[in-house]
Amino acid sequence: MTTLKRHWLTAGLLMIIVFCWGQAGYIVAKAQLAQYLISDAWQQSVLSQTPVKPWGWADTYPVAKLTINQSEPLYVLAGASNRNLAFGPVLLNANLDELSQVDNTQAFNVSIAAHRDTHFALLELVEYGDSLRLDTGKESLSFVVDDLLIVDEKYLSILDVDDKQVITLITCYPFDALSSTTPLRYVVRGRLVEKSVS
Amino acid sequence: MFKIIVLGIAIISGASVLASNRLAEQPDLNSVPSRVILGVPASISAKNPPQLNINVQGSNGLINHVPNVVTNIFQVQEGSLFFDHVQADMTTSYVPSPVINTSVDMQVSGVVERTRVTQTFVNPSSEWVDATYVFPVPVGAAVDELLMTIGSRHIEGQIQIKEQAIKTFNQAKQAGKKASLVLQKRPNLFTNQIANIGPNERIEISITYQNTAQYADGEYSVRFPMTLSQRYAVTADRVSDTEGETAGVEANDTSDMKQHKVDFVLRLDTQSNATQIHSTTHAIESQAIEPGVYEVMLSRDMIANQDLVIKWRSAQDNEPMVAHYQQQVGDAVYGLVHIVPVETLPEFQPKHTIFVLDSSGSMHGTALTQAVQAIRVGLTQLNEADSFNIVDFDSDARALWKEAKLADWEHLQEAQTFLANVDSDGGTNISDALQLSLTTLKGPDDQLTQVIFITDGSIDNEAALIEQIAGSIGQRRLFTVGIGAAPNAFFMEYAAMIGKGTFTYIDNVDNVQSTMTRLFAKLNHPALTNLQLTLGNESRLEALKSIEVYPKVLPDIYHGEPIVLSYRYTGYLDTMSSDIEELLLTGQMRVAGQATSIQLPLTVNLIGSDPNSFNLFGSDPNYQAKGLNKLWARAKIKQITTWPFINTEYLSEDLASIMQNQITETALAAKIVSKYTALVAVDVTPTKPIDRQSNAVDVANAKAAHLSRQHHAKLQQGQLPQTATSMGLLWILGWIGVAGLIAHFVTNGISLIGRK
Repeated sequence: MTTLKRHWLTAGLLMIIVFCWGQAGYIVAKAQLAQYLISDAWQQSVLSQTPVKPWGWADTYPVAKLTINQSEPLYVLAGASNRNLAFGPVLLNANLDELSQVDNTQAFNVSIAAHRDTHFALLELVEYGDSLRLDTGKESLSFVVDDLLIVDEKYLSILDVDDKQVITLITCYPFDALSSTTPLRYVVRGRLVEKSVS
Repeated sequence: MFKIIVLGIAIISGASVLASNRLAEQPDLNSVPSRVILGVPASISAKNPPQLNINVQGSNGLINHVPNVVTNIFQVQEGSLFFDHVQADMTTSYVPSPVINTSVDMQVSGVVERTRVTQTFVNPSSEWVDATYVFPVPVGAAVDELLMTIGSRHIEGQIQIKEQAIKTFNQAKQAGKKASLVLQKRPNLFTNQIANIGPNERIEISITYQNTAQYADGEYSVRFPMTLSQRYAVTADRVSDTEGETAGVEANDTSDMKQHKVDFVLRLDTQSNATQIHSTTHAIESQAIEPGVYEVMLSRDMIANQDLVIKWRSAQDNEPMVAHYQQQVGDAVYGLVHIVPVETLPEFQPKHTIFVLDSSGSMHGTALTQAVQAIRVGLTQLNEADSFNIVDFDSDARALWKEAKLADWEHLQEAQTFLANVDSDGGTNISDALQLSLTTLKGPDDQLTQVIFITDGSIDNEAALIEQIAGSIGQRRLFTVGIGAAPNAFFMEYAAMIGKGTFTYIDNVDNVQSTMTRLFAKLNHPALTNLQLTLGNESRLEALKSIEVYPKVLPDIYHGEPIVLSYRYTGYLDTMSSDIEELLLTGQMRVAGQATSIQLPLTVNLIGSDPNSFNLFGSDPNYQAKGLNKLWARAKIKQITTWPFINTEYLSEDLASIMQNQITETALAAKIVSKYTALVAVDVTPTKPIDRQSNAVDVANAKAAHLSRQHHAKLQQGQLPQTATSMGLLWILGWIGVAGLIAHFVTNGISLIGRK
């Protein structure tokens, strides 16, 4: 093999590595850095009780803080769009304000979706009985995991409100699949155990 | 630079995070969820989901067996002809794009045009989709037929009140039936929505409209519009569209429409063997298939990027002419009269001309060159005793001089310099330009002021501008000149009508000289004003008491222009009758500063077969034109839409609802699509499996419904969001790269770069 050919091959392979890992890293970096900015916005929005955009051109704002077990809190964004999913978990229900208005017996279902590779990668490790906490700025809700399911993407009933007070966390399944399109979703269901004004 | 740094950090952090994820122990079997739910049928209630006990570890096979979902509401790209539905809460849904083929079949008899546009929608995906197609029609055309063909079945559209049609369509859509809905968005812009196109399925939709050929300077022309002018949104001003919808979504789609092939055939019946046919926009081929009947086709495949204009001229067109068409529909007779008045001798009078030039961003390129060229030609047409001025506008308007100057050599030079420095950018603030040219700028008192407004009309606050023109036109005359591939003809024609002038369209840069010369030939001739139409002895014939003629107020007529009248009366055509009922046309012309009354001799037999109709249909005295009731209805609706500017009869607060009722009634009777009526076609048998979803779902509604349990049916629309990135794949590819590099070094020795 000539020196020239070798150079091209080496350079080509290096470029592939840089590109692929760069892209992958970019996704992760975006997901992580955004959460720092969003956490600041969340603090402000709790203080001011108004939605605060995490950065000037953002078309979303944090609506809740989600803590899974003892892990770093995640900030949940309004607006279920692909773009928002890159920055953090998104709320699928129209709004959380109704939550604070419901009385203690009324059923609700807070549904949150996030990427399996970034924010919700840790759902893979969640087990029955684990604790989930949702802080809406007005009150703090504690849930205990009582169901783990795999569903088809068309199974929208899991967003339904039935007769319980529940939280539904949704991410793509299987966790280690290479393809970014999958028809399956992994669902973590939690039931409300405690509600307190924060 | 920033991105490089982020990438750098990202590589490191990404690598570490991923490594930790990958190395994390595989969860043991017990911690893996115990239930898998797949492909849930709609009938199963949410409370008791089916439970399938499937070994998840072995689920790889299962996953592969689930049909691969090509599109997902959170993932698909914007379809080429489809609109994204942006909801208030920031969610957006997209639809995939089927392939479209268009064929146009146009039939012209004399001046009556009937055009059928047939489009084939093919859904290339494996999903059920709903499609929306935006199509322009010529200004003044009446859309009246919708035919949906699925395989060998034909389903004809029904005319319904708009709300009812939308309801019918939505019900069919939800029931999984194929359906099509044609709505009027603007007088020259319609949408066709098609619901439930199955995977790899083909649906053919035909839409037919009725129109009249245009006549100017001895030439007839028909136009098939294929592009939409991108409309500029005036944000500071009142943005009120004539049809109450913003045109923003349409703009993006014009570029994609260019890719579609259009087949075009015109059957032209002129009853004249000496007809010369040509097109100023496309290369065409024409041949006589019968005496006086021609077939016109495009010599090359047409790309839908410019309106198609076909013009023809028959030998006898130079003489004064009356063409009269009649049709019996039910118990009423409809007619169309097309008159080219006897040429009147011109007499020169000094006039005041204001040229208004649109130099906004949308005019950039050839359009601006054409517009400037048009004014240069206009300047050469002025007489020395005339006075003139120039207004140039984009985001704001500027006049060349504070008041009009004589068209002498010195001032013309100054104007040429001014034109040389015009550059196109900024918005289209027509309002300021109108204010300046119709009100502020003064000219000599004894001269008629003619405003020549040159623009592509890319605006979307049409109604407000029309109102402004109506309020400030006074004794001035507004002539609009359309420039560019697809000017907003509706606005410009309407503006000219309100401004008592004419609309001229320059379709090709080579035609600037001839078109502007003809326009000025008109302006230099005195116009026929105060035209009055008197019917024959109305009391003598019972039938004529109910006659309704449109337009009610005849516009000023300039040299070489036709008068087009549509009428209707209750009664029956009597082809044997020899009673000739005359229409009498009187008008005024200013000759040497004096208003002179003129009578135009003109005989039209409204009751029986008309000798004048032999001009065009000599071979067949019993010839009855088709679709005249549609044209009459269209003329009546056009009349009704002018009520806000001429209203003296009704209270202004009642006007809107009276107009709506009148338009609805007229449109329903003539079975045409209007602002308040729509065509809807529904297939009888549902073809879409009830548990499959069409992709153009309204995500926001489906989601909102989750909050209330009453709307269970709606839950069956949409999908859970796609929550995976391609990171895993990228990560593995990266490692493959590393492996390749290592293999490369191992086989070649770990040689430093550059060493042999």
